[in-house]
Amino acid sequence: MRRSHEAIQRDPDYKELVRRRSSLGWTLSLIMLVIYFGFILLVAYAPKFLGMRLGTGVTTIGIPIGLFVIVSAFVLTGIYVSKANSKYDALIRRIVERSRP
Amino acid sequence: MKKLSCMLATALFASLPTLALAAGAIDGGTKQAVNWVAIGMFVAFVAFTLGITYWAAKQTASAADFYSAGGGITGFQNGLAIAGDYMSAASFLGISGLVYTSGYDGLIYSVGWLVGWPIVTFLIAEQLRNLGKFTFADVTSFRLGQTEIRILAACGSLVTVAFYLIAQMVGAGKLIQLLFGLDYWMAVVLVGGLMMIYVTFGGMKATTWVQIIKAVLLLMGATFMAGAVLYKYRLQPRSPVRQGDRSASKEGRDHGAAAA
Repeated sequence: MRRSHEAIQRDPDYKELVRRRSSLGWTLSLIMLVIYFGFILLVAYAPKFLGMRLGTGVTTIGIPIGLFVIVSAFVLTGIYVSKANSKYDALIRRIVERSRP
Repeated sequence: MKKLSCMLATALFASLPTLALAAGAIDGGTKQAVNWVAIGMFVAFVAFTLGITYWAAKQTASAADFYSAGGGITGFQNGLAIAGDYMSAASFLGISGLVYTSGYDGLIYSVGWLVGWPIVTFLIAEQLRNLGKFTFADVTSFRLGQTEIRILAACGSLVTVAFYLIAQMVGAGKLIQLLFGLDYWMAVVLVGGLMMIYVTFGGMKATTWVQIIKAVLLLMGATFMAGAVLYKYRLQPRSPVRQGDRSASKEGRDHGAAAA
């Protein structure tokens, strides 16, 4: 390896990769945490709301809300994986190629 | 290494009274008669998975083989293995039991478990892969002081292990005790010994394949059970508890809500 790690750190592609990936990672984590703690706070402080019946059946509104939390974890992971596969991996390959002697 | 094993021994020793106490806390029923059918099925499954472990151990030559199966696991296989890791006895027995006994509150446990996983993916999974390292401590000690970071990571692991593993061991020990009619301490020693054999000798390849098998078995079992319950209650998922007497619909609904 001719180029040192300082050279990689100066690489605009590397800077873009770090900036974009960490901003996406933290944004998605934040969304996930807001959804999760929102759900927990609902359970703690508004159990009556979660216990409301949907229509005439036995299913309460808490069931779709709990399902929403689970599905949102899948959707957010899907967003991250598609971004990582389409954008970040290409950037990483370019950075690695360029730092080869 | 010596320090680490010393710490491990201390943690194990410190957890012994908790193990015993926790066992007393969930003492359910009397000791069962020795159940040879259950023991036979268990032994067959253990022999099968130990065979896989032996096969994988023969192919493990380097640290890369041990920690990441030499990169020879496809995305789908790894997905199944992670699913197997995720769907432990907790989701199959524990969560269903919790939902049965405490209703909707039981759902919180399954949700909280799941939500941690995407965050791990978003924040550290890719860094691990790009550095070509295998553990969290490897990554952080890449830039920070080796010794301090490794001690910190070891403490974190031991605290987690102390709380998590004790619950797992108590659960597994109780299950084996109930199924086999063994003494509780024998069940715990048996389960703990098997766990150590799987991971120490097999490494990641064996663990991955054992998890894949577990995931497939659990998915099939859970799907079968859900289908069987729905079939029994005429494919009407609304009120499985009191489907029979429709005249007492209001009362039936209340009971259904309490159980659901």
